[in-house]
Amino acid sequence: MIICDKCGISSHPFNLSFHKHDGKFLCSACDLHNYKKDTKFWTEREKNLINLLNDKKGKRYDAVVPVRGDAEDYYVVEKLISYKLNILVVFVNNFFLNDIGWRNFHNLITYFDCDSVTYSPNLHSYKELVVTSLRKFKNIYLPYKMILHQYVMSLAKEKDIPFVIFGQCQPQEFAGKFSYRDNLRLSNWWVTEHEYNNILYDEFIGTGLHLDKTKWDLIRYPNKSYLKKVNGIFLSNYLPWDQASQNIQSIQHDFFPQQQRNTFDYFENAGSSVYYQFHDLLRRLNFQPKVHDHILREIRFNRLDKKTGMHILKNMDQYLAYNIKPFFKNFLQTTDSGYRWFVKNRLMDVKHLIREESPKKVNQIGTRLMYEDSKISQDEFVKYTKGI
Amino acid sequence: MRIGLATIYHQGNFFQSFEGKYFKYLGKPRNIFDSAEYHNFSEILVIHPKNPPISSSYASTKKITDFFCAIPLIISGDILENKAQWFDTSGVERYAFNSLCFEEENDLHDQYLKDFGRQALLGIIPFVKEENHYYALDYSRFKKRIINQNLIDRLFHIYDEIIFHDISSHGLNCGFDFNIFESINIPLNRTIICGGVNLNSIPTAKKLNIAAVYFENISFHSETLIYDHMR
Repeated sequence: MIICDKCGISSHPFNLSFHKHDGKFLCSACDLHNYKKDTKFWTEREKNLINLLNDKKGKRYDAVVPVRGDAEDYYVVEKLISYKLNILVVFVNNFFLNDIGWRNFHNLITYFDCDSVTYSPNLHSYKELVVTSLRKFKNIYLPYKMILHQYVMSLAKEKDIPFVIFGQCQPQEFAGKFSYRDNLRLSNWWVTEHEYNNILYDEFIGTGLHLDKTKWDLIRYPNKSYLKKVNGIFLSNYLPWDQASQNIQSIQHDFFPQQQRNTFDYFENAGSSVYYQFHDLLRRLNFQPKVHDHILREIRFNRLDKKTGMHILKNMDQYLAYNIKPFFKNFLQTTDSGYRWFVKNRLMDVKHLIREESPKKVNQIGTRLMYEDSKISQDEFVKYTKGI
Repeated sequence: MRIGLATIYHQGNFFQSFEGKYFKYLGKPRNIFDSAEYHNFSEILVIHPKNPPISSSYASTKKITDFFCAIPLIISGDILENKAQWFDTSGVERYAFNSLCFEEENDLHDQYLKDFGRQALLGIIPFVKEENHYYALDYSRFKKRIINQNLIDRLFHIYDEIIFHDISSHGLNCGFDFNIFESINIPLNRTIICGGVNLNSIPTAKKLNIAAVYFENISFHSETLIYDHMR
């Protein structure tokens, strides 16, 4: 096993490559991270972005911006407005937002005064997709991602909007998978490889999905000939991305961070009722919880010393505690025996982490990302189904 | 002119390569093949390097041919020496030889010719430019050889087509170095170019009547860039 001498990472779901530099191993993420110091390079990249955006203007809107009420959305929207783009904010409801998430989303569109579209898939169909995804792939976010990408790309095409703009390209930032010079765009391949965990549409609907055939298009990524003239781009490919510092700035725009138990980053994915609970437990089951990425990110930016970070990563389970029952009870509305069966049979490797408290607290390491006025959710599952 | 995809393969996974020095994970074969079909590529060159930092094996080649792929596959870099193995990898449409290119005489050529016919055989010349001279890289012998008319004539006599692979531009999307064709007489209608090919390379390649161009990493960096351009 090769370990990066700079950050200590050995593997990542997006896959890493390692180079030997001055006798030391350097992972692709650290290798790419070195570019962040090159201000001349980024001035040029931002110029390229502005030229690209000015080159193709839409009739009414210049870009679709998919949001989830997260701190990152505040940075993306603010940046695009500063470029004098007329943006259409699109929120695809995954029914996982709590009261803080909804409040942050409404604050975003009010504060920046942007036009927005909210799309809520049929709740019963969505639940069936989540159940199928959980049963077949141990993943509860997959249906949301499939619907999101299908919807935003189709909407951009329908409304003749030339760009769909995402903030961070995760495989690039967390695994250094692409060069910044690659001019990476969103594609069917990219989405399948990085967002859908290599699960193909046919595989998803294959067997066990109790959903009418007419609703399958909900999760089918549009064909390339249909998507002609729609460009999906990532801002992190053109700007020196520093997720944590950018997210903290959202406080100025009245963003509410959320107190979390399983990470010290109260900004990323604040407002989700499942992200650091059941979703994170499934991440831990399949690979590593989200705090793994947060620790490595902070080490690369020299905001966390490697020794502390590595100690947490090596003893990760001591820092984790998950309460997943509300998801089964309030979202899936399963019976107690159904919940117990699932934990016993499908979560056997991680069931020791389903507990009230962990022996150690990951948020004891103390970073500026643990904003002292962070909120605690009062209403975990807000399932608006009409009237938005 | 045919449009193909060139990609690096190692132990069951595909990789992006930059300048032939840096390798980054790209994806699993099934997703790569699906994507290549989605982009309507005419053929896929699977570069299967033998030398460090990555090496190859028969098992690895066999694995790739077990996937169903509707696009013809060309295997380069792991040309099998065992006759039973050739037939075992029946999913391979053509073979591209590198090291054998530089051997004046080798029985393997004749055997391949006899069993599969000339159309199945390609030569691949990875090249670099140094001090205004173009050198072919002979990977198995760690040697650089100057590209001269004798070599070219001999290779076009043996192989159906020759792939000129610009190693120093590979993965950089900076354009293929067409100057290599100026100093030597090459039948361009039997020539394939690869390495740095971008959309600006297409008009020149068409003008020169090049047989095929192979895109590398950029094939996976956009949805419709190549598709839009070609149609």
